[in-house]
Amino acid sequence: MDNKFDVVIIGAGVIGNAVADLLSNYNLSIAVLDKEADTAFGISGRNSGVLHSGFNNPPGSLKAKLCVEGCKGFQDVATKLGIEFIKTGKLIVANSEEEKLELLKLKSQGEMNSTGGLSIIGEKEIQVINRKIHGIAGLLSENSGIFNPFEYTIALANRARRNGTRYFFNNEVVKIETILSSCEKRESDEQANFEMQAEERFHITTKVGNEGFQEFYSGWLIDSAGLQSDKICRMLGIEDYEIVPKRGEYHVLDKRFLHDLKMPVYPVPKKESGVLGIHLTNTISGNMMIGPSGENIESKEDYQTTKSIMDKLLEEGSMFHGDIRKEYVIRSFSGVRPKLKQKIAGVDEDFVIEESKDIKGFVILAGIESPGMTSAVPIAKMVLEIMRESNETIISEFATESDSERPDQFPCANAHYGKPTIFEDKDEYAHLNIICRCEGISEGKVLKAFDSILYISGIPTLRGIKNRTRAGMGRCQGGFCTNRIIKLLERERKIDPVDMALFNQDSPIIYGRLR
Amino acid sequence: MMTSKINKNEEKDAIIVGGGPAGMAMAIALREQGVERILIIEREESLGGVLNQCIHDGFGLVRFEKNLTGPEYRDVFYKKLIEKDIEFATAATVTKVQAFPSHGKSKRIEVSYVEKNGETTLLTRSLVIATGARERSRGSILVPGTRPSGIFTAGAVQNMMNIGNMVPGSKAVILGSGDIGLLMARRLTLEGIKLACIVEKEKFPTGLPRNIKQCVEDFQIPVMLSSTVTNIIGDSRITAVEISQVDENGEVVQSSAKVVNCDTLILSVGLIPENEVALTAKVEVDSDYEPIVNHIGETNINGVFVTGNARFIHDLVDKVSQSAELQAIEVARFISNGASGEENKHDRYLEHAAAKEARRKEKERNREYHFMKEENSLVCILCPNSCIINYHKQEERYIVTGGMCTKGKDYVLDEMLNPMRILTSTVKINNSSRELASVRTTSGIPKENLLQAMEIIKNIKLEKSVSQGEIILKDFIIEGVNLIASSNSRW
Repeated sequence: MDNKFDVVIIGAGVIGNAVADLLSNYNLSIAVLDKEADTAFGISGRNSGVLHSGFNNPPGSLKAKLCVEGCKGFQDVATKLGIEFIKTGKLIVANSEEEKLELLKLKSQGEMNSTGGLSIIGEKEIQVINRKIHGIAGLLSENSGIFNPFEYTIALANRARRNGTRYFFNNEVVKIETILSSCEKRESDEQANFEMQAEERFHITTKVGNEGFQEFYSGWLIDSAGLQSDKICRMLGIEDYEIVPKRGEYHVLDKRFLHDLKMPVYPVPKKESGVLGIHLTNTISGNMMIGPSGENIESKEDYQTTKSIMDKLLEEGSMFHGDIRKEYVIRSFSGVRPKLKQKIAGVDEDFVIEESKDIKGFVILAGIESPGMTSAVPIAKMVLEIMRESNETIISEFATESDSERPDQFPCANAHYGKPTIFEDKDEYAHLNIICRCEGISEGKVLKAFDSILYISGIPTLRGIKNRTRAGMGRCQGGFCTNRIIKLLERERKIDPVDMALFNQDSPIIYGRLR
Repeated sequence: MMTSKINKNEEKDAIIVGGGPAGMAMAIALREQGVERILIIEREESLGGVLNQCIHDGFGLVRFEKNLTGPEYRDVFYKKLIEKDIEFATAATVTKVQAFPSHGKSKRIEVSYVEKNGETTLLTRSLVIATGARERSRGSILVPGTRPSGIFTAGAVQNMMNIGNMVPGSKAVILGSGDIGLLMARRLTLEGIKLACIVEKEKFPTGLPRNIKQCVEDFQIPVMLSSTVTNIIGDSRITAVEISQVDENGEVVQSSAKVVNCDTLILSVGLIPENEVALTAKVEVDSDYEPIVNHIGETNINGVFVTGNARFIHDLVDKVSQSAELQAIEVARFISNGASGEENKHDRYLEHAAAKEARRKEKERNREYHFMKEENSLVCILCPNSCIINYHKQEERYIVTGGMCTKGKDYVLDEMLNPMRILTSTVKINNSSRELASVRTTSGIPKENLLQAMEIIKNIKLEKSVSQGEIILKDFIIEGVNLIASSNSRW
């Protein structure tokens, strides 16, 4: 049985990768399964990239506790991973007396959560932060910041992989069975080696693209499947959780414009909506984003953007910032929040992070919406604790933390405005020809990204290359670089152009050769 | 890859960024004005810019009074560059531009560029930005729907097919009836790719009359006017578009939506000046990406000029070359006089605004032209004058009137009795660095034989490289017409 692991993690998003990354420091064999071609194709690749400080979450909740912990530890995490993070601060803006009261409530909530760095500022101070923002009062959160969510998610995967974690992409979990017999047998045996005991508690079957099935066996099973985390639970007969998808649309603006925005700016959240509200975020790449909105939708992975919301984003964005024009938009996209079905109407559920009471060894991570990214490392630590405390733990000895301190071997590109980045670390990547003019990306960087995808056993797609290099994220939106990337990969990596896809096997770029 | 020998140890008089129709014309004209040390920096493997992928004819009608394909037009300039020994670097991208004062009064501009294995920095007295245009994308026109594969801009499809030898899809909808969209409609149809329709938001197709005739009317491609794409459908690859009508104000008419199946959406929704280099150089560029230049095309930075489509979008390549040639006189004057003193910012802003307004008015005037065509009239397509020729049948003969020259009348008679078309396409070459060579018929072949001609062309496989003008097939379809190579098959 080749595919036998101590731990199988379902879902290679930021949560699954953070768990793998942490556990990979210990004497454990780990596999991460994901139905997509690459990491960060789900929620982790569709958000604002904001590090939250924790004042938005109810005191005593896991969301509050883990967010605050994640926020405080992030600079250190980022440095060790070799990714970029800017502690920009964040501003919540009130435009009425009612909203001003809300600000005070948020501030005291933040104080109860011990976020630190919160202060109320007036109209004048808002204008100093940014001339074009309209507001009568604001809540300034100094500990909030921005980072590149792709870079973070991918860096975690790379480091986990370097520590021995195995990734299996294009593997959609379709069936899970518990294997009770071997456990029962061993429990009675006092000589039982702890390692053997929990060896095979789960038998997982995956569908591999259109080609067939694969089997996996594990002692621990971590459900970090994002939008599908309830579906995974149901495969084991656990009906307690239901994910109710809530989509958020965004506009990305041309990085030429709105440089004056130095930190994310939010409205006062409306309680009933269950979302933070359409906000303006500056990103590490230099683009400003408007969004996300919040709409209940039927189908979980319905990522379309809609006219009414696209119009609304521009309207509401303009209410904040006087200089937003639809001509500045270069792209619109959406993400879907994995919200757990509310037990009490109007009250959001907390994170679910627990070992199933009925099925030992099955750890459920459900409803990990915002502040999920901020909380990723603390969530991973909780998972480790759950495993340690379990009587059937297979971690009999803990190895010391290994080379996780080394900066990541394949850092992502963060092109900064006006400064094309040229990459020359190894001879083979020193192809300096610029292939993406909008973002100043060299051919060498694209080749490095391609190799980086193969390093974690992903399937190279244009989206995977884009997420790692920013090629295709610029103002021409891949109009120039797409053809050239395909030809480059044909020349330097012998990839047939017909095999290059946008993000999965059903999204080919071209249909064949002309002659 | 062809790069000339470059002297990297001398200061240049002029560095031209971009070796397309504007850049090449500027370089040649500068040399003719007596400017010595000129360098063209081109990011592609070969000079020519977009001309290399424009295998269709229609170039040179104004400039040379000849009907050339893009590669043939490009070669006229390329040969002159070689003849005049002008330096050029290809597969080289400008990464940094810095203007600074040096000793004495005259300023210098420092330009850095990267090639495959290294970076070079040179000083120059003047910089001419000739970086051409880029295409508006789906994102910038805010089309709702999903983001599947199969959505391309027309120029990207042109590059993909004519240079890359790749097929974008099997059934396409084209949004936008400007020239690029129309040309691609013909190109796709000739290659056997289905065209569901062309969608245009105006009440009339917006390309040149010659393109409307030869691309849409010849192949009877359906055009949905006063319409636009209001939704994109398909999770992984596009499967359909929703098309709705728009009223005079461009507002979508509710409940007019129609779903049209396709696997490819091609956008021909406008060109924007490509000004990454200008922005890198800290040139003032307005929010339409046009550089704010005075009447001689000089920017806020002394000695930095912009020419061609990077300055503003031109409707014909011929005009791009002509305006670059005129501008060369001013650039040469700048070079010989040194710094032109403190610039007058106010004047420059006014001149830019005035020029922009004049262009807008010109565009409006050209639009109205489309309404003038009546029954029993044809637009002559022999040159961009696009004269309207009227005809009527009298007994067994046609009587034709109108037009500024006699060729127009002959053209209409031919159209009525025996329509002919020049065919341009590509053939496969084995054993060559380029996969395809562009080809053309030396003159028109009967319109009804176009698809048959395509079948022959698709099966041609050249075993060695060809040079421009070389005959590939003699007496192709009809006697006296040859199929010739319209470009050199090697870069």
